[in-house]
Amino acid sequence: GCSTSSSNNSKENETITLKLATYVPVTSQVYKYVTEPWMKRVTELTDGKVQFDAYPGEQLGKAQDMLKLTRDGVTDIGVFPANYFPDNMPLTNALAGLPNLSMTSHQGTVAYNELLQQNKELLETDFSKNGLVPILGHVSPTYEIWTTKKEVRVPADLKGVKTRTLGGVANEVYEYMGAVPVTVSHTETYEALEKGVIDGAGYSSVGVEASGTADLLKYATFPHIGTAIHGLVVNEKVWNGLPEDVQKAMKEAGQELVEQSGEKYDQDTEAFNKEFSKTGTIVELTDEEKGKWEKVTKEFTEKWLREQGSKDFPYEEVLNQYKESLEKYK
Amino acid sequence: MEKLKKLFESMDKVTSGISAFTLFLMMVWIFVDVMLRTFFHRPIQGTIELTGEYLMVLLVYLSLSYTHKQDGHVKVTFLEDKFSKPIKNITKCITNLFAACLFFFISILNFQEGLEYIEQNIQSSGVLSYPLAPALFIISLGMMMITLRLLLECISIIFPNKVISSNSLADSEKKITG
Amino acid sequence: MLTLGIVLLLLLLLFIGMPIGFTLIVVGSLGIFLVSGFDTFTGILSSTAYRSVNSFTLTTIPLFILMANFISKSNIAKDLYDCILKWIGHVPGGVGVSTVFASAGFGTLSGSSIAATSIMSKICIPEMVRAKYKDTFAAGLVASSTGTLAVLIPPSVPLILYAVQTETSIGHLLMAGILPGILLAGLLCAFIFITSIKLNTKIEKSSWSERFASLKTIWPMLILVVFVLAVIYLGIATSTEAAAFGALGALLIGLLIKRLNVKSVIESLKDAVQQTAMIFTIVIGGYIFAYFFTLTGTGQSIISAISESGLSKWTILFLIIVFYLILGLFMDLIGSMILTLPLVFPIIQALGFDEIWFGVIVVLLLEIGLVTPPVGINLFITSKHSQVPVDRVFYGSIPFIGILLLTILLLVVFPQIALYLPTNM
Ligand code: NA
Ligand code: NA
Repeated sequence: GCSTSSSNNSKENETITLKLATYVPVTSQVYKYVTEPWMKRVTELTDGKVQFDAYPGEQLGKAQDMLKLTRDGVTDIGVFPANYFPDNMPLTNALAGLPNLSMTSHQGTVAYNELLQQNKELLETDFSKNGLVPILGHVSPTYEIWTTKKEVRVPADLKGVKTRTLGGVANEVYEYMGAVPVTVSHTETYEALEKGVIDGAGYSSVGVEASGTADLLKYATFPHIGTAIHGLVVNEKVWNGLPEDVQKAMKEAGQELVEQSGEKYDQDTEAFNKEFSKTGTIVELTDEEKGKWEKVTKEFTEKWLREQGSKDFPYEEVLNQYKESLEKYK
Repeated sequence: MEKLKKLFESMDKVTSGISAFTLFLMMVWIFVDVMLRTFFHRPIQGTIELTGEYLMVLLVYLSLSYTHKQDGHVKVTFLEDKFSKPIKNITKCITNLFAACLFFFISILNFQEGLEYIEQNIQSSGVLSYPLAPALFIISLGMMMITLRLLLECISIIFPNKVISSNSLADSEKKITG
Repeated sequence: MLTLGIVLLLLLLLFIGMPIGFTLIVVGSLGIFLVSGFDTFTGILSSTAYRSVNSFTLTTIPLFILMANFISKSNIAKDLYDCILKWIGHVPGGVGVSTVFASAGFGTLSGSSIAATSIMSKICIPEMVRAKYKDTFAAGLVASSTGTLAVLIPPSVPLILYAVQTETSIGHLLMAGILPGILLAGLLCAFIFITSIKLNTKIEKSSWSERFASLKTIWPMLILVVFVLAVIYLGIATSTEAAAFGALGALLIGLLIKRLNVKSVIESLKDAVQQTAMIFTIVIGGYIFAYFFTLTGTGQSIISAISESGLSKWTILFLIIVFYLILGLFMDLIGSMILTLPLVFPIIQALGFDEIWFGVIVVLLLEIGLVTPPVGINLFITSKHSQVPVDRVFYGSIPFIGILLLTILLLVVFPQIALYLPTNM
């Protein structure tokens, strides 16, 4: 971007203005709890030396172009989910899409960032190869099953249920359990649920809230089918041109958010679930029913890993390390 | 020159034909998908992705040049109508050259992007795994064809006796917007 | 300064006859290059072409256009108009009111203002002139109201584009257009009736047997409407998917009543892809130009200037309405919408206006733009079919533009007119 040049020859006190682009709107949790506080904190830590021009809500490009736009330097910094880029960020995409891993946003975020510090392969495959430097990765609250009419207690109940999914690995999970995955655009979800074109949707709690479909959904079942993992990433060239103190401030601001952002997200989730319980039912699963979900998700994960066998990525190693980290922050 | 133009026109016929067929296919495909979903709970996997990722691309980009031939791209004419014929020709040449330069550039960029898609093995966002690079090449082709048409139009304005203008000035109702 | 230069270049190229979509692409790209340099320029140009068409939701546009083409080629709209004339053409104002009814009826099948105007001006204006309406009155009525009814009553290309661009619910937007459409039709009928009393405009009365006979000619139209609505309301398909049902239905009916053959089907397909390519060229150009506008920061400074101006929300809304009326003088509907929404929509959200309601308002405002000189496509089309000079068509449209403005005023005062159906159904 144009600002890179100014950062390259910047002297000590010159301000550096960086472009930050994301597809999420300013009202979303990813913006309120991750993006905005991070920018604020960086500016604060550098005594105002670093300023940001923020372009939220697809102002600089569509969601599916966010990685490219950051890599090509259209924006200096990008915030986007790995889920949209399975081919560019295969490892993070797998951690995001596979079922029954993190329980909360806080747990997932802390564990993922620990992994990012420790696992060189993850850093190399998902970020360095794409010309990106990660500041932090943010794991959303889990995606669950929300239905309009049918109470889903065990995986078998999903048979034939037309469910909106976001594609990717989660799609395969639903298919494995016998659901009919239907991709419906954001603008059409309400209508599709209302008319019965779909019977349910895979959403996080705050996702239900943001989509405005809460009044149509009657049941929620929580087997934790995947998450969204957002990266806050800097273009590598831009990063290398930044003074060391700025780099340090950016990393520091990122680390500070690892704990906070997840907690706030989880609070919103709980608040929404409480609100939802007034008009709908959050299905209380017995231990036996829980076991059935755990069994089927475990089977799926094993099958999925087997299928990836031929590809060159260390899925299993990264997954196991992520699980270990998750165990620590339970 | 005349031969080249003929070759181009027949190629244009083929691509716009594919475009029209794509629209027909899209209509039938979506209908069948909905029927299968409603009555058999078995939608055609990947319909939503494939229609956006490929059918829309074929439909729009392979008919860009044909649309220009039919004078189908809507424009502001109230001032242009008052121009004399020579001035009209000059403005047409200028605007055509401007647009041709940029469309040529977009064509190249999309071709390169397609190569990059191959390199990174970028695949469909849906459950079906098929590569997306060809879609970028289709865009590149469509952009190249509109570039050529704009240039040919310029040439036929500059050398009017050599080339018979094939532009059938379409009725204004063909310019359909909202 | 740069922004101003680019905008002036945009106007210059538009006025010397460069296609609107091309102009937006060329000028927007140049602007991006000048503001943000070569990397940004190539980065945006290599992704926008793909991303602006890569959407399932957008398939509804070519498919609804295709449906309208099939209907137009099978003369179904003409049958509808003739039937309505037989029933009410003999009362004062009956022919004019028939025109409104037929326009609204055709609007249930066409989502494009200009397609509707071009078909109905061929069919209705000669009949109205025969019934001793002034040609300016007839042309003005068709130019200003036929297209507006087509885009208010679902399906509607502009409302779908609005939904896609602002990420609002398509279903809600389409429903929000229905009552304003009916209101507009009512106001038009009332106006025509009042002005017709002294003009004594009517045609000869048809016999009852003729009337009932004419009903038999409109069954294809009725079946198609019922079929599309049934598909949507029985939950078989979404409004997007319904377009495929509509197009296929129109094709089958056309073949069944032997008004379509292979040749006319191919013609309909070719016309539809051409209209689609035209619309998407503008959409792509609109995106590129909007990115340029974003990168200059002009948009954000306008928004912050407005939010810090201390003006009341109603004053700002008034200014936005005036802005769209001025824009409509020069630009076409889809181009203006794509170009301005990234800037205007956040303001509307920030002021707390309803997003669905605003979509209906914008579409109505820009429809007025289609009948105002210097650039008014519906004006040109109507003029061509009625042989009435452009300036006289505009003169004839003035009272109807007044009615459109009255409709907008009523919508501002009573937002429930737009919001009742989406919130209660
Ligand atoms: Na309509
Ligand atoms: Na106008």
